[in-house]
Amino acid sequence: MQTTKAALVVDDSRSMRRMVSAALAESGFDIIEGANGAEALHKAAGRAVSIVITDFNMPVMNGLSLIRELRALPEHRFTPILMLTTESKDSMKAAGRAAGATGWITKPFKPQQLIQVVNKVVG
Amino acid sequence: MNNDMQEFVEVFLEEASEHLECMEGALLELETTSDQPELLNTVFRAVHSIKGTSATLGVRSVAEFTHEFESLLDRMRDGQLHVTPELTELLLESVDVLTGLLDATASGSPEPVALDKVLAQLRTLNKADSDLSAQDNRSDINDSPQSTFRITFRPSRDFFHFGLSPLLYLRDLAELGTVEDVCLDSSALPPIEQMSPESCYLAWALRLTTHRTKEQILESFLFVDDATFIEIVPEPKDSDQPDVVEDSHSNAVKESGKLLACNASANGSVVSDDSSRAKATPRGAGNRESVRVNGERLDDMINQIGELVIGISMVEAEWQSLSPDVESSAIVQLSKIVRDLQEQSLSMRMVPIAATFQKMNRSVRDLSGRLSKQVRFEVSGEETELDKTVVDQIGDPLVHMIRNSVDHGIESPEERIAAGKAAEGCVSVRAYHQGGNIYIEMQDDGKGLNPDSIRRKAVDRGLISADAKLTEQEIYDLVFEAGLSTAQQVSDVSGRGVGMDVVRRNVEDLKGSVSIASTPGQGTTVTVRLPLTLAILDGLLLSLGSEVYVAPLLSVVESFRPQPGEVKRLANDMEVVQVRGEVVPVLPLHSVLNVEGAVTDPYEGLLVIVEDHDTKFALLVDDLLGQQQAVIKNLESNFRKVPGIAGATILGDGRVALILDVVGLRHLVPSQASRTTLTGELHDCS
Amino acid sequence: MTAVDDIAQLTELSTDGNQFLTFTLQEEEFGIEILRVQEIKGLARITPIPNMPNYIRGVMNLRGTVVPIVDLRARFSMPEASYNQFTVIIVVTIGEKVTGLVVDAVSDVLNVSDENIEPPPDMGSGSDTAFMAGIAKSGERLITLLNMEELVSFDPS
Repeated sequence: MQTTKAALVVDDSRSMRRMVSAALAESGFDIIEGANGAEALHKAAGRAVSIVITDFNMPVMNGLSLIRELRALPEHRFTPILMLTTESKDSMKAAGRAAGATGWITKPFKPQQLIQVVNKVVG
Repeated sequence: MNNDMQEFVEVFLEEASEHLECMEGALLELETTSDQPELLNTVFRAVHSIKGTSATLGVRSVAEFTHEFESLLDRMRDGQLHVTPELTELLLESVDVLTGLLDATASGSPEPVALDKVLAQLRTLNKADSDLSAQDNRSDINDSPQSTFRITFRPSRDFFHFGLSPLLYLRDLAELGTVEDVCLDSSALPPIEQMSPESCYLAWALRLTTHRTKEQILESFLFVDDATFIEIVPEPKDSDQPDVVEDSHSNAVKESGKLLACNASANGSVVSDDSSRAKATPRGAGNRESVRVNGERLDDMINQIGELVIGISMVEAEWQSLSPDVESSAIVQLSKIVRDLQEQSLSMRMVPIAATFQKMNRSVRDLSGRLSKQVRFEVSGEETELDKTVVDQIGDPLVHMIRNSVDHGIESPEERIAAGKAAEGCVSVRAYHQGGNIYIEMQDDGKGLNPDSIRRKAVDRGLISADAKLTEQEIYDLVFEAGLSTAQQVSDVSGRGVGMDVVRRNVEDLKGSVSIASTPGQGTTVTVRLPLTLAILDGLLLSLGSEVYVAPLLSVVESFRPQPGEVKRLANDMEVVQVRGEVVPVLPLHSVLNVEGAVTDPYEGLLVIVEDHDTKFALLVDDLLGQQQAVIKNLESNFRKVPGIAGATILGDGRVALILDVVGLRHLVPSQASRTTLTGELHDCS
Repeated sequence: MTAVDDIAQLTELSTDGNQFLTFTLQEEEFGIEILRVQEIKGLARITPIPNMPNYIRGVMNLRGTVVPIVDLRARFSMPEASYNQFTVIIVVTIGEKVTGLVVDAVSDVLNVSDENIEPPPDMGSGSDTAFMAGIAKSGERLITLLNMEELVSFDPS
């Protein structure tokens, strides 16, 4: 049973992860971190999370593959997933969408913007 | 600062430098304009924006300084302080300090020396009567009238699969204003046995009364997928004023200052529409809006339109083969539209040269003051537009050339009077279009170049032999040689950032050229020619075996079929041809590029004379296929740089043709030949 | 969990339950992760690029994008086959770049579970196994899984 909200933050950059985690923790999320898609998938499997925020380019398993893998898991079919992208390229967004991403945040962003977007997709 | 913050900081610095440019332009006009409030607003917005971002990113030095800077501007806006030459000077100094602080952030260089002094001045002025400004009653921005919208929201079937929830969007709408008449449309619900519990079949219609604009409401539908249907229709309040909504929208957007930047050029690369930008002079109602667009998206679009042009050529060719005698008026019309569209899309990469001219203006002002010279700066054609990339690369060299003019060209007032000239010198710059090129002409009425001293230096540096016979013009051209201009005495005042050789290299990297003319005692003129755009190239299609290559038309001098005996073989196996007395080495393209099945006998093929810097050589090709505008695609995006090849383009029949890099080709020639005849300094062949 | 365990786990996860597109080259079967495959195309006009290794056949127009074409037979120093109407190009993404691979024929899409993937055989220092990601077993079939990053690298050498 999940009573608190949990957020899964996936980024290979440690400080980026920390920045996102800090902002989310402040808004009351429990934080799970992953340094790449594979690690994140491993940690997310079998548990409910309120939101996943993932980077695009990562070693081992990139963000797109992570999203596809998560969507293939029954427990994450409807989990909101936001991608962090450095470019606002539409093709990137389209690729993310096709993989099942809920939305995206273009880097750089301010913590408040992040929280705004998160609130947009988390009930 | 850690590395990842650095990423944000870099973007910030880029933005900030655009703001600085914008501020400086406005400040320079402050003393002469009749519309000070708008100029002050421009500066204020720029400082405000830098302050906000620097504070978020933790760039404290900048945040602190901009805070004081902003306060001063705010009080000037409120009319508590009036514009005086001293105050303008302080504002300009503040811009310098801010520039220094940003540089310090970027490169870790020390903070500007003047920081403490200027900061203290700002603080003193701000403290003077800060109580007065304590309560200001600025009118609230958000006083746009309420309007009512009818909103239809029909989520796509797969809505849930993207992790989206319709309820959240309804919640957010309710936060924008008053929601009434919510209607659930369940007509799309299938019979229960066909219903998928994971699909969304419901739709909603509602009325929303809000201060927000249609666009702002649409923004609240962030992330909905393309298959989701959203309709927002304003309910006219007074039936005779259907446009009210639109008006309040543009005001709100303007106030928010987010979409409408005072500076048209956007982050990284790009664009705008409006020449009033750099002058920062409001043009009243004619002040058109600009929108910041991501450069990459714009380039993608331009590329796509390039494809469209290719597509329509293919259609034309196909029609031609199907019915050679009948013209299709539909295709003709379509083709015209597509080509117009391409022209327009290319124009979107263009920015006015005005921002660069303004930097020159500042330079002239500063430098003439310090050198105690009287210099008038004249500008014309500042609305002339250039490709953003060109402006970025050419800006600094141009500014340095203007500094040279003031420093080395214009004489002191005493010298000028003694020479029978007006005490005040004149430096002018003008930009204009001519035949697919942009010309930038910098002129001064100073003492002109001294051919004797240039010649002496060139001999000293071993650039020419002591007995070389050179015309005056040839001597002037030596200024662009690497060994010469950079070695000239460096004035500690101008600092002379770049030599003329660097200027020439920059210009030539952009596929342009630079020339100089001078009359002793009367002045010097430097003319820079630049291509209109970098995205498209006028190409000459060459056939070689079964392949087609594209040569940039700009580097092609002429082409001809050699007469028997015209091509001579030298002792080192190098072939040469005489063109009007000039001996030009022949470059057998097929062997350099390893193309099979091409003509190897120069008398059966054509020689295309190309020019690179001052070296000419003749490319041996099979035939010429005609000219074509080529949309340049780089090979690096999916592959890598290829020596001798500048890029690729797609021909009318859909196949890829490689674009020759004339500079790079020279370096592909077997080394023995290049040592004997094709010598030239190594050059980055990008 | 130690760092080493961690890494082991991650590498396992990344191939776990992956699907592979299999194709043949001279009767041998190879596999590429399906997620990399953008599309499969018939042979189109290829423009040669001068002075490239023989396996880089040139570039092709893929809906307006210029894409390099690598002949895998040539890449593996197999005898060359003449291109015909059955020759196919598998368009794959490698990092940010898109590349076309010329192969003899595409076979099928294969689900391979973890335990049926073996690490590439250690053939001693002399042989080149860098481009192999592993060997997949499916019934009687043995499929060489390719490591694209190693296989297709365009950095000038």
